[in-house]
Amino acid sequence: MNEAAALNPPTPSDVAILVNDVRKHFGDFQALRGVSTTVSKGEVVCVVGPSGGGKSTLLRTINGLEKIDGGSIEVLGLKLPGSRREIQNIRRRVGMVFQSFNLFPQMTVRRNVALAPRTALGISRDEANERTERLIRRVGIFDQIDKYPSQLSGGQQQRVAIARALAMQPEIMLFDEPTSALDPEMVNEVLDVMRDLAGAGMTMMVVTHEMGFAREVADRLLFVAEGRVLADAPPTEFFDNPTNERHIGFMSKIL
Amino acid sequence: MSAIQEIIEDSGGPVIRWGLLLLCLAVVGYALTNANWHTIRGLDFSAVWIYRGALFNGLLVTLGLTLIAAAFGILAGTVLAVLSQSPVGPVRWLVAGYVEVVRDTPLMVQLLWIHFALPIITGYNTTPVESGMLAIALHAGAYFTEVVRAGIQSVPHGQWDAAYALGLPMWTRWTRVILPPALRIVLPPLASLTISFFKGTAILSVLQIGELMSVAGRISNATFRPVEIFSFVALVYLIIGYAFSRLAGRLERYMARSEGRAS
Amino acid sequence: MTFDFLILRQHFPEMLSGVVTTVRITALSLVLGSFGGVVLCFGKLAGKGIGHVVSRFVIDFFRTIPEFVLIFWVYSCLPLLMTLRLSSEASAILALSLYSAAYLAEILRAGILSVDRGQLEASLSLGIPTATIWVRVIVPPAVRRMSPAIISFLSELVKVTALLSAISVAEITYQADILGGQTFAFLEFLTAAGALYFVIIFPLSMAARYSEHRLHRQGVR
Repeated sequence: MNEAAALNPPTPSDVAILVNDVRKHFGDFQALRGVSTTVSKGEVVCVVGPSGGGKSTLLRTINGLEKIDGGSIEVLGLKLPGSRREIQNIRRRVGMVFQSFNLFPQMTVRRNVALAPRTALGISRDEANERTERLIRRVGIFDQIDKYPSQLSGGQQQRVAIARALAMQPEIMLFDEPTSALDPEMVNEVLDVMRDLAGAGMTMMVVTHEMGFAREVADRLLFVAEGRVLADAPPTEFFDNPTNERHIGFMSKIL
Repeated sequence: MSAIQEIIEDSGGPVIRWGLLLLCLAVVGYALTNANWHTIRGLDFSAVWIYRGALFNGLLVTLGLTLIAAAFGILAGTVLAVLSQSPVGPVRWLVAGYVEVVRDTPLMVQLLWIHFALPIITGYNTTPVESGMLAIALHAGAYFTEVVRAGIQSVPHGQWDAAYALGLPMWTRWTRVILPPALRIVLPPLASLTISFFKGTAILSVLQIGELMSVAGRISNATFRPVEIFSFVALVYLIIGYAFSRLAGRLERYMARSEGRAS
Repeated sequence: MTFDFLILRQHFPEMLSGVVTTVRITALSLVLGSFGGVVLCFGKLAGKGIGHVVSRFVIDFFRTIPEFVLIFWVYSCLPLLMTLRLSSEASAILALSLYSAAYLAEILRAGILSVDRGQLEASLSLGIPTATIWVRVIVPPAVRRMSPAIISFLSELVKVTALLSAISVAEITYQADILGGQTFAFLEFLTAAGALYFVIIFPLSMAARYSEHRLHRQGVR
């Protein structure tokens, strides 16, 4: 059962991501059992819920890292399931940040960030450098730009990862538990970057356990558990008026 | 599809598959066009059946040698592995030297050396069988030492500390605390070593010591049917080798599971 | 009992030619085996159905069969079944190339599959072209991880060349055996043979261990 919060139903041109009754199973395990939601351009949607409930799986279906078994997805007008070409097009316009950063260890920060624009977009070395430096400055690590990932802290690495994703100038940014692998004192430096990004109008879908961040920055929260969307509401409504048992249960555990 | 599979598929999955198909066809085509049909039609496998007794005996010798190698290997290997941890410098060096020399020279050379060169030093002529057994035993000892040593070193340091803290005497320390988990860890590599020694017994045939390959050689000379005999023998090695590998694989999986339970 | 160094010096050219042959055969088998290994590896990774089955079968076949049996079979049975004639050395190289291809295919496969999944997913998400992913993301860590195994394999290959003495290929062991037979100086020649192999293989063995050690120090990733 899906509960879609109908504030102002988004018009087609506003829609960045449209998830329609998506199903996904891993062997016998049903990870997603008919999930539907929309994300409008410029919206920040935070996906919360218990571990193993399907949040990450949902996120990963959006840029094709997981193939869906049922339903459909539309990202910026491009449809999934789709061909290799279509998936590649989606990935060009959607950036993803992972829980374990996934930086390339054999490359410096500069190379990590510049690799994709240079090779995928074919931009010149100078332009790539300019873009790289701008983004590294923006996430606040300019003095580390020629270091290797192993020389950086977790928080710094994740910020590099965000810059790397931004270097492709995506229209949507997906975050898969970006701070879950960080020591507590480094969480805020990453959340600050994300907050700043949201403020600049980026369309974001963030799987997270950081409730403070969600309450403050999200336009909507999605509660996903057991492969379903069990709540979909703006922060105030979500936190103050939980509507069903599971939702209430979850709230009581985290607050 | 996992990430790497997707990437490989992207790299030209269809091209690879078609290319492989063409390659197979090319190889098969080449083989068929260059085959000696006269010989192939004239193949007579009855020779295998006639000499099945001798071949079976050869196989028994092979398996026996494998067993000797494994048994001696584990025994000597364990002793030497323990010695390799000795605080006495020269003892360690001697073990290390033996292991290194045997592992870095071919079994074939060791076999020939033991049979032809050693008698010059010792004045005692070993029979081919004695030379063969000695060679494979020594070879096994060195390889198994390495494996057992790795097993010993993989025992968590905490166990050593506990054994010392409890004041256990050296004998007990080794037989009850260190060796049991070490040997359990070491069982899968031991199994695969045994398989390679099974393959190695074929090398001993150069001295005609009566294992499967030697027998095959003699039968082939007697019957002038090398293709039939050697192909059959190759098949036997393949079947047994493959069976051993599967068993070893099963053993490894079983070990991996029981590790979780036991520790 | 004395060790006659003089006789070794007298027959140095023959032993040297044995070394050259050993090195030559090892090198050729390794090169040809590398090509074969790449083909078999990708056949196993990318092949669907029959391609995969054939690759797997070929790899398992040449890894299970005893090397001695393979060499002997190629030398004595293959010429009878075929109309083409191969010299001893050619059959040796054929057998050892196939052997190498099978082992290298597995090493290559392990290397490729060991690359961190997360980095591959990041590469895909960033839209990096496939060729670049191979060159910049897969090959560097894979090569590092495969190095110890490849070096170990190389030393195995050198040891296997000793078996070629049984099919009259004039490598180190063959020369030592023949010279021993001629002069009865088996002790000298066989010891020299052993020493020659050791001199070649010991450095490889050390290199493999060093390579492995470096891997573990960097954190096996």
